[in-house]
Amino acid sequence: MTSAAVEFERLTVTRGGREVLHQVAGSFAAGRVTGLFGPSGSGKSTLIRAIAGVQASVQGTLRVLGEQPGSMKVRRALGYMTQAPSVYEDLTVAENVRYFAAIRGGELGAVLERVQLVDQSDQLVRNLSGGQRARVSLAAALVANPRLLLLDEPTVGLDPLLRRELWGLFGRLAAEGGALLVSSHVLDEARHCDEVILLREGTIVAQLSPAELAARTGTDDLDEAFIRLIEQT
Amino acid sequence: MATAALGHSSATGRAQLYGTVAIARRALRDARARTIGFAYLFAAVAYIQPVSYRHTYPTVADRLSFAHSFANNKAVVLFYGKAYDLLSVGGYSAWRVGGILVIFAAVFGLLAAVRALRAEEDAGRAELILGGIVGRGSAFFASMMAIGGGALLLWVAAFIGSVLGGLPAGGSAYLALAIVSAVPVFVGVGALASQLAPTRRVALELGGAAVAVCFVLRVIADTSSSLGWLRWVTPLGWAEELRPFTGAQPLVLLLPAAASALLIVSAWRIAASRDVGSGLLRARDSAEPRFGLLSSPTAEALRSERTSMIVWLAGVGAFSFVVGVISKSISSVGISKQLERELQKLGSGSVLTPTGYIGFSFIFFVLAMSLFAVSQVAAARHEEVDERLETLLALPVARTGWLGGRLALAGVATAVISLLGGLLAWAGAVSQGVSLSLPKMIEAGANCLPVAFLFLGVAALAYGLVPRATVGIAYGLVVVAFLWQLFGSLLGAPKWLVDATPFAHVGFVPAQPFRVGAAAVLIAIGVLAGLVAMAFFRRRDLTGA
Repeated sequence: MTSAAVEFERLTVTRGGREVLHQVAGSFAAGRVTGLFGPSGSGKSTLIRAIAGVQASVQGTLRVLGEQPGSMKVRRALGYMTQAPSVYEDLTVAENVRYFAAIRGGELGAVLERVQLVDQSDQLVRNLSGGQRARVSLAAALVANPRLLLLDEPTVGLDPLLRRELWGLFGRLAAEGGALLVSSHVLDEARHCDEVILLREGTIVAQLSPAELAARTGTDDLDEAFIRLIEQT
Repeated sequence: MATAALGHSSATGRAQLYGTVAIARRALRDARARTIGFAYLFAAVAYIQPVSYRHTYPTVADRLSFAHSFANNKAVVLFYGKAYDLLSVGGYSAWRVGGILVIFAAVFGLLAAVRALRAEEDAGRAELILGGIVGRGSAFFASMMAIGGGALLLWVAAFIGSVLGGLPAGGSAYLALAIVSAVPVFVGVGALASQLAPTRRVALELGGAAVAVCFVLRVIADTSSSLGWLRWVTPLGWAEELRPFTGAQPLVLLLPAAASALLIVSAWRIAASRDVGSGLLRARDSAEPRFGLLSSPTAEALRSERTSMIVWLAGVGAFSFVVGVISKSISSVGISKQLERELQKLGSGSVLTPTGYIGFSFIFFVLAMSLFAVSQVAAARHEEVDERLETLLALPVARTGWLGGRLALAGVATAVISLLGGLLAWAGAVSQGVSLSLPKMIEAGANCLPVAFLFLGVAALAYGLVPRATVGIAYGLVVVAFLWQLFGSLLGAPKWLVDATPFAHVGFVPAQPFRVGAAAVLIAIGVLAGLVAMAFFRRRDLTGA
């Protein structure tokens, strides 16, 4: 097993005066897709923000690619997609992607093919559908081949076919050596991950592979498995 | 069957009514801070003017001399409109209160309509409401009722202010009505702009342009001898033609009534037929890629703000040219030394020479440039609310670099617009044969900068400390500081308190020298506030709306 891309211990995060994460510990490695699952409000976005280095009031230990989160070295290697599509509505798809490439100092590459937006490249983001906007946001995160990808609910609101293709893309990116942390509240999507971190009310309930989860709870239905796991703990 | 159907429809009708009332209450609540702010302003202005007039011109002789020399001074007419009778407290108040408050009433109507009709839609909440039982017509009606409630409050405020100022109740009620008559017209303008424009910002820009055109028409009508009829084509002129305290012409009220009805009904008809989330002016669907100004966040900020900057540049440029042209007709012939001293108390002291007039007018440009600087910090805050900033700051973009870049851009743009204003005022004056030195007018333009930079720094500080309140605090401080400069001394405040506003430290360049010491202090405070802002911004959490 490769060494951890991200590791954290006794991580406590306060946001808006409320403690959102309580002394959590965990890690994930490059070369695999790690899923971050849990109900709405369980702290998924906050954990991702902390790793991305955009979160204040972070206590405990947190190492990202062997560095402090938010250091320039980490930022250059990072691709981050926020929960709400955070792209510029008054720019076209291509202009958005070019802008984020310029900020990272990288090349455009074949990123629009990867998210299947080649035909929309000259369209203004303002006029795109919700799913298309999410893909522009994803393209902005993928541009310039980041080593660490933090994707906050990238598949929400997408159709089943596109969801499956994106999870396929995440698998290929991991196979190319990238470290991926992908959050979702649809537990069924855990089957696409090599490993899942289960969050509930700001604490990590378990970190295990989907197969281990099924074995431990005695069910293949991942929703049901999560409920049983909570009842066990 | 028939009874059942009837019962069903009346239950639906009741539910619809409740829904409509709920929307109206929500809209009232949403607008309360702005409405209360405007109401205070209306009451204060309506109170101060009659009181200060009575105090400054106690005798008929004083008033006669004032009326002869001052009322036909085009400089003053420019901002306050045409005066019909300056010998009575009522006539003077109608001129000074009505002339200026009607502009605020127009702005109030525009902001209220766009906020209620377009901003809700941009946020996607309108779809949510229209998906329920409330129809489009009812939702539109509910928003209008809420704005009507706000307008009523403004009427009450202006009425109470002028009654407390010692004016008779009947006349005060009519004066307040004349002022508020602009509200429904510009609600109509805002409602129509909301239907035409694809976004809130474009709707505000369209409506703002309409207010500016109406204002310029009134200026032309009031200052020119042959174009007085133009007063009949602008709602701001109709308010003058209502002639409170000076031979009231209540029939003129038919004009704003008809115009409002026409505008609001057209807006309603369009609202009922167009698609939610789009405007009649179709936004472009696609565009040839232009990759200029996408190399850094600061470059992108320039790209996204350029339209707004060009609008400010054109507005300030045009107005300063007009000021330059009008300055030719200013003279102090026939004004006694005594009256000149009295005028100084009113805050319009050195208006009586071309340079004095330009210097006085440029105080308004200091205000405009301060508002522009603050609008740039508001744009930065907008970037954060939309969560784009969170994405940027996870990338190799340093927080201090991002904020610093935006502040620097705001500073440079403020300087360019101000200096161009000075240049164009010079061009306007020279075109009329006024002898004026160009360097002195560039100095007048630069004179806008210390206060604007101070407010830029203070707005940034609010952004660093209390991001959610940035926009309100920043604009609020500029407006309060400016009004304090106008009214503080009239209210009899001690000098040190009057001097608390940065506007008190601006010289009337070119009539007076540029105050280097004061400018240095103002800029130093602004820079310090900016640096402290960056220190706070580095540490704080990003926050949504």
